[in-house]
Amino acid sequence: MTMMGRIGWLLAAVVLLSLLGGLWIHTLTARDALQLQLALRNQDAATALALSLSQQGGDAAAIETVAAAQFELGAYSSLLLTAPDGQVLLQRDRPAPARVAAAPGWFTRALPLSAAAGEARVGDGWRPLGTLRIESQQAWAHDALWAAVSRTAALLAALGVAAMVLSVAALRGWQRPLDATVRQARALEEGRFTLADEPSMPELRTVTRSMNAMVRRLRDMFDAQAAQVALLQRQAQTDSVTGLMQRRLFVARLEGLLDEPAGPGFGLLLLRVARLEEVNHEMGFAATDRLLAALAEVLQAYGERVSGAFAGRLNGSDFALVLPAVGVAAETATSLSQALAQAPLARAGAVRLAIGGADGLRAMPVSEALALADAALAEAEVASQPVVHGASGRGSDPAGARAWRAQIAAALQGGRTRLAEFPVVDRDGRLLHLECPLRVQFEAPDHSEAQPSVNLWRPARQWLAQAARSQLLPRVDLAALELALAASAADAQPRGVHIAEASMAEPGFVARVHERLAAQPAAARLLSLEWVEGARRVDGVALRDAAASWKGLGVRLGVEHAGATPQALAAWQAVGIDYVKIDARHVKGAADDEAVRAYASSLVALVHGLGWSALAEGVEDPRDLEALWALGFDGATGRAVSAQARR
Amino acid sequence: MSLPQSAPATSGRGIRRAAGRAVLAWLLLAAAPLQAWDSDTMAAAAQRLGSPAEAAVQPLQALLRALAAMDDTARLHAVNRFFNERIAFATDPAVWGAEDHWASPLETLSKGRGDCEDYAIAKYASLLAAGMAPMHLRLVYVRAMVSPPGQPPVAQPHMVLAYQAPADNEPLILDNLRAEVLPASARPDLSPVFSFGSEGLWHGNGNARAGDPLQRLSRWREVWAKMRAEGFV
Repeated sequence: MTMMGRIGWLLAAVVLLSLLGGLWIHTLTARDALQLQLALRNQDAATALALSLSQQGGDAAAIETVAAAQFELGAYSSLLLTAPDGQVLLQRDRPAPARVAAAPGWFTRALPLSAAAGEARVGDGWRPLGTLRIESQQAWAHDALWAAVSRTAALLAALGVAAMVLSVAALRGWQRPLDATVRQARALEEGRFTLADEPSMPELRTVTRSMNAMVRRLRDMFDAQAAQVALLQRQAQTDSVTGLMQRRLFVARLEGLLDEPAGPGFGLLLLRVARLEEVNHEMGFAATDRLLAALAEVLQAYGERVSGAFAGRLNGSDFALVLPAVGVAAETATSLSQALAQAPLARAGAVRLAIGGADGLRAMPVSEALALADAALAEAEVASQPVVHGASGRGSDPAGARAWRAQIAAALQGGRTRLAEFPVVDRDGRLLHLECPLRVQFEAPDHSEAQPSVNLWRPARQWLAQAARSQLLPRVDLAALELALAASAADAQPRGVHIAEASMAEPGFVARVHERLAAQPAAARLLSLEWVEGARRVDGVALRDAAASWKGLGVRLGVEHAGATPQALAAWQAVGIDYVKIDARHVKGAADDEAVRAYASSLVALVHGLGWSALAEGVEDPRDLEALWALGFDGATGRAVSAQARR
Repeated sequence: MSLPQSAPATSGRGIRRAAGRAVLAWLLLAAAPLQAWDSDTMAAAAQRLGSPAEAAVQPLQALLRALAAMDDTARLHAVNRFFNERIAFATDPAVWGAEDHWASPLETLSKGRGDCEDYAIAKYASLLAAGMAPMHLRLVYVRAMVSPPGQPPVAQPHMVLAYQAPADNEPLILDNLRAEVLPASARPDLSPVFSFGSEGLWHGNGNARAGDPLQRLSRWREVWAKMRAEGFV
């Protein structure tokens, strides 16, 4: 039984006991008072009658008449006149009258009244005639006692109820801070490090305060660790001179953009510092580095100003900037050129910069995109002014985008959807879950009838961006969820489904997911739901509520594509997740690159420190996979894993 | 428990012996004829009432001790004489400033004055203290024919103490109007109206104290409580 339950029962028992005790004492006191009244009445009656009888001159008839008159007109139960020698001279008795509503029998039996009889001496002159004994009717006294006790019992019962109501209210008041403390303790147990308000009760305050202190210490430790990891990340993936992304990371991100066939496209600018070797020679390394840093700062600032833009250093003298929209590359190249011309070293005339770019890039290999931009750069070097080429025939295609959207919506509408399945396994090859991105089937264009073999199932990366722009993501996520639940219900395999940031922001989405999970409780226990790392931006409280609602049904929760911002992982503590999937770009090359290994290892330590599992995404090279197991990853997915699973 | 007869035992050789002596004294006391009065209680009550009472309680206690050896008739005469000689008649308003006051025996003695009830009560209490059975003693309201000097007799309410011997129909009357103890037939001036005694006082209620409000319910009950408090019964 809970402490509050025990206190409640104890209070109830104490209240009941004290009320019963009070009733008992009251009853006894009332009975004593009634007995006293009866005895006094008896005595007064005996004295009065004896006084009358003593004036009758010993006339037996007169004595009997007077005694009978007193007895019959008063409320007496017995009258007895005994001569000094013990002979009964006069006796009258009257049984208790039949009464209507009165004290019940058990009450009369349990509390008998014994009032002393009244006694007085009757005489004739100096001669004693006898002793008179009178007893009164007691029924009325029992009735009065019953009435008094009933009234008191009713009053005490009302008092008892009031006391209990007050107690319950007070207990409820204490229950709230206690619950808050217990909630915090439970959260700690589950690895969610939440801070709680300090309650006013000193004992609970002490507990809450110490738990808060522990949480803060843990957060500090985590922050320190995360900062260290971030430092490692910078060292591994950024250029030490300029702080920009290194070529490998930049290219990986560029690849991600280019994978999106239905996107509007983007622009890519390349900047080259002409004659860097000579500049180095003339100015010295330190000054050159300062120059490069200043250049990087301008690019970085641009990246921070425009959402989605990012910059990188491709090699010693080449820098790159990705612009997340079409049609701004030329303008940006010009303004960048002007801005850089204002930089002190450039103004000194020591350095010349060339800017070339390509606009409207979309759905092409990275090498092609880089080649386009490089060609423009070469022209720019010659022309001494920025040159930007449009990607011929591959520019933004509004009509095409509309067609994509229509296709997606139609596929969702018509249920032409299925799940792809990519196994996530642990180091022993056991299946953790099947990663299940949604595939939608596009309708074949008319001319495809000639090619029945054409694969019209489209992977998510081809249409997800369009779906996002069309506010279709909640429907996409629900469709995937329903398919996964149905599949798991059929084959009892664990599955993982992605939940988009946009879906979380949609009102009623969390409840709809809950509804579908609750409808298939067995399948729900096999399900994992994943957010992207950045979904934290949605709303911490909404995420927490969703996590609590879904976890209650046995769903596992995770974060995917993680690792870009280790500090942001901290925020997931309060949500309560089970695993973190580290993005492919942080694990790619683990077999060969010490820096990659160092960063991945620190991420694993961080994730483990928070009580979660660390899974690696997109592992393609079996050698990488081995290296990742060695780093302590708990699971992995990707082509290397799928290949292994097939074997 | 007060043991007036036991010698101080604390100077003896050890507690055990003192305890043994106390037990012996208690056994002796229990075996002795029942003594109704308690001299310590009486002395303490007299001390509370002031020096006149303290002075008066000495001869009273001497009388009570002497009574123990006497038969009932001798006791009646001794007690009657003792109070008739020591107490001068005075009305309640004169003594107590109250219309009607039933004084306890020690109160009466301390004042040296009293009316007919005070005489009767003091004698009644002393005789009970001497060990006389309560059933033989009656306080009697009488109608008395009093003859003031040189005037025709007038009827007055009065109270006397009557002693009813077990085998005798005629009681003996102890009165303050006539100094001697006389049989009822020798008192034609008195016509009894009503008598009362210890009946109906519920002695069973053992914790009755003078301060108990119950005891103030009637004058008789009140004065009975005072008698108890003064160690007479």
